[in-house]
Amino acid sequence: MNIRTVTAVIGLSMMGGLAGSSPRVQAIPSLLNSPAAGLGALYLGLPVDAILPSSYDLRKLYRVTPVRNQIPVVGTTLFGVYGSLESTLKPLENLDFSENHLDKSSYGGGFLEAKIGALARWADPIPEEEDLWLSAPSGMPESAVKHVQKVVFLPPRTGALDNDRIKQAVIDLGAVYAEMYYAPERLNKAYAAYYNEASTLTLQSVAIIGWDDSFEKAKFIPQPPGNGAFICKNSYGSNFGEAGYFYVSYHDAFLGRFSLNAVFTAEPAAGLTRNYQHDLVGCTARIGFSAESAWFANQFVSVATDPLRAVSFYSYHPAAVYEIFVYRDSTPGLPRSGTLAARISGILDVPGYLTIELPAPIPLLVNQRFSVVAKLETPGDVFPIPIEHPIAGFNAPFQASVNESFISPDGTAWTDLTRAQGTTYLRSNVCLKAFAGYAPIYPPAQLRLDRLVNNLVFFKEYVDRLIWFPNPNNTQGVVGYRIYRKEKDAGNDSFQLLAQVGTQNLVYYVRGLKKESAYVYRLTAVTESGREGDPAEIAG
Amino acid sequence: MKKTALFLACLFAGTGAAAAQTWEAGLSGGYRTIKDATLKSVYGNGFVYAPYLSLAVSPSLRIGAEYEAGYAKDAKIGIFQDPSTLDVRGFHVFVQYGERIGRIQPYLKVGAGIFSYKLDIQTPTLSANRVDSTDISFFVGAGLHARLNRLLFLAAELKYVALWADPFDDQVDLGGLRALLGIGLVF
Repeated sequence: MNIRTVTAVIGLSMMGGLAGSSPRVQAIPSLLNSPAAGLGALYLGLPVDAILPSSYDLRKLYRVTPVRNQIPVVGTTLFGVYGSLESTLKPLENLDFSENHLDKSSYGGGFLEAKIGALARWADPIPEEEDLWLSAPSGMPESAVKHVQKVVFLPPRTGALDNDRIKQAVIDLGAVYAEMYYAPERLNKAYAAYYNEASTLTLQSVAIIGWDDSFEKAKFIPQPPGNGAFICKNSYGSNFGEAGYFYVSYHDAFLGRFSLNAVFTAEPAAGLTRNYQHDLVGCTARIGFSAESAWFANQFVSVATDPLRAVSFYSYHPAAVYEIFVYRDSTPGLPRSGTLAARISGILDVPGYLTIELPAPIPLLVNQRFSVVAKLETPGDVFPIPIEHPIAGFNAPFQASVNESFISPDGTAWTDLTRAQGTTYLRSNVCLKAFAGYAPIYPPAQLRLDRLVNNLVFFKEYVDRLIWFPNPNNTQGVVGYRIYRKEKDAGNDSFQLLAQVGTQNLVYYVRGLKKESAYVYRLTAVTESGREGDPAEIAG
Repeated sequence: MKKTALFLACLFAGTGAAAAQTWEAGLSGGYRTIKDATLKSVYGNGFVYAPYLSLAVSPSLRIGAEYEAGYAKDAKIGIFQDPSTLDVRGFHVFVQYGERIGRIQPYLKVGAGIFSYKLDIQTPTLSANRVDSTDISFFVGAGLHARLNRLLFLAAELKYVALWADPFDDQVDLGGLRALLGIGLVF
């Protein structure tokens, strides 16, 4: 069997940049980096509008969260991740996630796929308040408050005017994660204008939140060849640039040009409850059989009766054709044995870390072995199988066992990945997860808290008014909302149920408060089946 | 409170030495205003009644006591329009000076006393803040008695009653004008 490997689809490109060499790794025969079959040329997802606006700014649409501050850390790629994720959750939800925790749980340091790996295994995101930036490890159990089930990859910009896909993603999804090199002397503070054509001193990620095609080149020092700039959210605090934002020239040599750009999205944690996975690190390589299609599978043993609802994997091809099979009661080592419980096929419309929902939930028994089998066809690319695989510079606890991951060129002859090519893949797993649980229940949208003063002539009554909207993403019928409250300084385990209200009037008044009263409120949606969704939280 | 008690004691202490004592008892009723703008916008002005009893301590000087009640109004209050009732009532002792001119006796009148005020807001969340308190009140006024015969007279009176209430943090001016008409009996 002739297995070929492409390592570090994204990571090596970053490593190149970090090492000071050319940040674009042409030598890797991957679809991503191959000029002949570049991802950009084949990119079919997020179709670009014929005419994009000449300027756009997510700030005006309330789709960005406040600027964070990474100082005293000068360069990090963490904040761009949550700059994107928090933005895609806006304006329905307003959250602040802990970069510190993501840093600790991302095996592999600054690699983008390490962060995706941590998010995909549900180690993150957690709220900022539970793990503040630069705080010491707390030993807190990992419990993601959102489930990242989809990360859309955008190919690196091939030139100063190759911006439309990023622009379209900003419009359609929200802020775009992008990497750049930051050199303070390249910032023209008078206009918060930044143009870097050479310096590779400090790797930094930002969130692209808009653009201005007519941003004058004269505002940059030195002056780039043409006008136009992306509006980027940095993480140097609000005193940086223009209240924390800056304009990066389209002609910047590095912004989004040497590694994948990405858009992070998330679902409520109240939904999929079980993450069956062997790939705890993330996708660090791809393999194939010198053919455009290949099969890969994982076997799992269920730990609960939550029904199987979805599977996820990585695809670096913009229009991969997939087939997914689920077998119950499969025999160890034989992924396509047992009873076929589901089969679904389709064409992916974007590259990325993607979750495919099964046609119907598959009931599971406790301790029931099941297989998830995928066939992926990637036209023009012979490395369809995403795997986690030890690669140089990626310090992560890669580990694998027999009877976990399998690969096959045809879906018939299967090889346990740990036994393929001697010991080459002894610590490798295919990146194919299975998810059990239920339909997600999204939190109430646009939760707002106002402190009212009720003048009762002889005295003033202080009142907290909560206003919210139904979350349009909810597919299950919401029959009510639960309101919880805790003292502002109390721990999160202090939340007490205050009331349960219906769906007619989405406003609730907490009366009889003192002027000095300060509370934190949580609201959850409750479905007709009695399930309770993720909370929306707001502090007074 | 102590000052009011002292005032009352002084008033009635003098009555024992008075010659040609006559008593008057009467009942007045009429309109009262509320000075506090917010309170006025909620409950508005209203009607009161005031029975009184006075004693002549000299041909032109009387002392007496009167009770005022009747201002008990229901209204919806606050941003939640909670049902509420405001009840203000109280007791004054007074000194009245007037010279009789034929059947007519114009007079000036000052007094002090204790008023109670009660605000019931029918909302369970506000039980801790229910208003039920008393404060000292003063008034100054003028009026006219018109004798109908030896026993009966008609009365008209205009007075300003001052009452500042501050059961909690905010002081409320419960004062206001009274325009009263009444009938009395001399005995």
